[in-house]
Amino acid sequence: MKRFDKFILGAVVAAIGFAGSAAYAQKTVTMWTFLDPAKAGGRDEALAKIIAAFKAKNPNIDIKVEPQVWTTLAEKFVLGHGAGNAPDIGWVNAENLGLVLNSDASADLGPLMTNAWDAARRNDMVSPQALEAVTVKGKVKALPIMAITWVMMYRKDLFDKAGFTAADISTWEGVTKVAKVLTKDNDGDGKIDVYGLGFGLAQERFSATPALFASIQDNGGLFKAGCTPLLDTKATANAIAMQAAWITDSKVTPREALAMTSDDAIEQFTAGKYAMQIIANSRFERIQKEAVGWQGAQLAVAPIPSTVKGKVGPHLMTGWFAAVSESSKNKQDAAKFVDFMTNSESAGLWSVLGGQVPMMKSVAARPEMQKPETANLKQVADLMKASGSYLPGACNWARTLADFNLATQKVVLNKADITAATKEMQKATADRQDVKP
Amino acid sequence: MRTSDARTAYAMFLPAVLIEMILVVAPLCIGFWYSLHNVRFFQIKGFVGWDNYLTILTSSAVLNSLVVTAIFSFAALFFTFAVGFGLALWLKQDCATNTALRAIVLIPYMIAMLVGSMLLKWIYARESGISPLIFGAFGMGEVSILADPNLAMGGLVFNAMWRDAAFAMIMLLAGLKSVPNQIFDAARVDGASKLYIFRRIVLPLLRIPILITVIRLFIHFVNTLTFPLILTGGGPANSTETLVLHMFRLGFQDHVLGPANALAVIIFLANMALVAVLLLLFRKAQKI
Repeated sequence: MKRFDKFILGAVVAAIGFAGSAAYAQKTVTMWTFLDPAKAGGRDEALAKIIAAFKAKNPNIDIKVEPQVWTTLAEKFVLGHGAGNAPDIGWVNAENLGLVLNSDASADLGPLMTNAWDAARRNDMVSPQALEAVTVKGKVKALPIMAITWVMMYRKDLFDKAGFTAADISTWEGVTKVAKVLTKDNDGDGKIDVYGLGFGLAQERFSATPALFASIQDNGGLFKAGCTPLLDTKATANAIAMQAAWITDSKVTPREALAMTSDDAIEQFTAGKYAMQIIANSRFERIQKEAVGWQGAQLAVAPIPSTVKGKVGPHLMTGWFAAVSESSKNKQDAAKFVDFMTNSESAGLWSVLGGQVPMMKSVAARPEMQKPETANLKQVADLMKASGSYLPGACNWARTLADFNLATQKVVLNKADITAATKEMQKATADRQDVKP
Repeated sequence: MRTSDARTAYAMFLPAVLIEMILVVAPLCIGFWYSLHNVRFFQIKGFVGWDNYLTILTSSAVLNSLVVTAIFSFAALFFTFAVGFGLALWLKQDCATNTALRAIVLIPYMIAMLVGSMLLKWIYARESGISPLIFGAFGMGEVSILADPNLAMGGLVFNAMWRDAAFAMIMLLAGLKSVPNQIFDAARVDGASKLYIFRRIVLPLLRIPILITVIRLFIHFVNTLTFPLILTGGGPANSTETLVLHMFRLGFQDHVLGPANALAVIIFLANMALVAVLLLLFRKAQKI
């Protein structure tokens, strides 16, 4: 072969080899989350194992986790997209989905992964309605990773002593009756030692309160089409009145609740000051561990009470979602990891190792989820299956929870009547959606 | 001034001006531009002209916040100045005891505002704080400071006074130290009473430090976010939601940046007016 021909042949072989290696070049997918896979235990360890399992199947894709403060994840993801430095994947909590879904920051996961899902995958989801919540104009903008819901946590020891069961608090009327009996001055000093029902009504670090659930149940939701709020209604007025009456009339909740954050109220519950409280299920283990003056093993979970006898109250679902950045240069690989992170194999790790409620029915049916120590998780998964619902992700609803608190405060303090208070709630929530009340 | 001197002068202050332009003027201009648009979820949806300003100026929530800000600022100013001035007069003499007391008074000022407000929140809490012990002696053990609109405002004013009286003390102490002792000695020799000395010597000679302290404190109280955000959360029932807290919520929690920036511009203009008043009073005081 002539020297020139050899050179050409060598160049062609080199080019083929280079192209081949380029196809298998190492790619890095960055992900912003509040978890740190370098830490031991719980969800952090679950994420580390999920990444390791993904890497074993996809050796050419590195997942680089950049832990962030959870309260600013959504804003940073959207602003990062605008500034051109968003990660490939960002975690978003349900309360801030509106921010992400209403921006152009997140990619459509339909063509990237969910369109290819088979019926088995979809049917295995405990809450398939989660996909509806994150679908905007036919585009799937995020995927749920872990779900949390609010439940009624109660002190089984106090209930047993008074002869009550979970069935007695299946309605809000029942809650009031039980709370009245359980509100006690145990040492006769004229001060209440245990209040029947606890909640916090502050406008910072707030959470869902009973009025929210009662309003959602009787209104059939928090919004109607186009993110128009359903708050200036008789149902919401009744819910606010019920909540205010617990402080002013039946006095089963202390007046101090007006100034308490959700965390303050949970601390008081943990310290034995309340007989029952609506709390996010994710706090269950911690309250059990930190219970003061009572046995944590006596902590029990009941469904959200209903406004109507014979029905279960709504279990509003919140939790964490993963979004792929629209400006990502690794969309395909990022979507591949999100798909992996939310499949049944990973869902098993999130539940068994991470202590999260099973997102897949197949995980909920596993032997590990039938043990006494995971009974709470399975119970919550069953509640989610029975009456779980997501608020529309595109609606900006986070501060509406604070609006319920403000309305209750105003009614308790006689700063507004209930009609005016609910009108104000309607306007405040509508203003956040850019919808005229 | 020679040309070379002028060039040197420009070269010396231009970097600072440049930094000021980038970090202050540019964001102000961008904020003003946002205030003329409908900005939702960090997306600019369209030009709306003065609509955001109209929304803010006709909002009952903003009017409430304005009233709350006025009550808080004036009350906090009065008590902070009074206590700070009292401390400056009391601790004027240099001795070991006064030096130690001045250091103790400074402690709340050295603590981060957020930490100080959180500490007070725990103290005010009826369930776990010491306020039942204090109020219990007066038969008011059931009183909940943060759950009562008037008491919550009182608690907020106390937070401001507890922290910033030290600042007032430092400013006024510096002023007092600059007054020659011979003037006080001469007044005493002439038979002047303490009240007379305070009214006719101390106050006139401290005119400028007093003006600076008052205006500086007032601007601080009008613009502070930490106290209402951490201590009361603006509650109960918005009774302690100041203008700045309302603006913070509009922008960072509701994500409606158009009205938030409009309110920011209005607050900025109000601050400019306050500074103009300071400069005017300062010039008048210098002329006298």
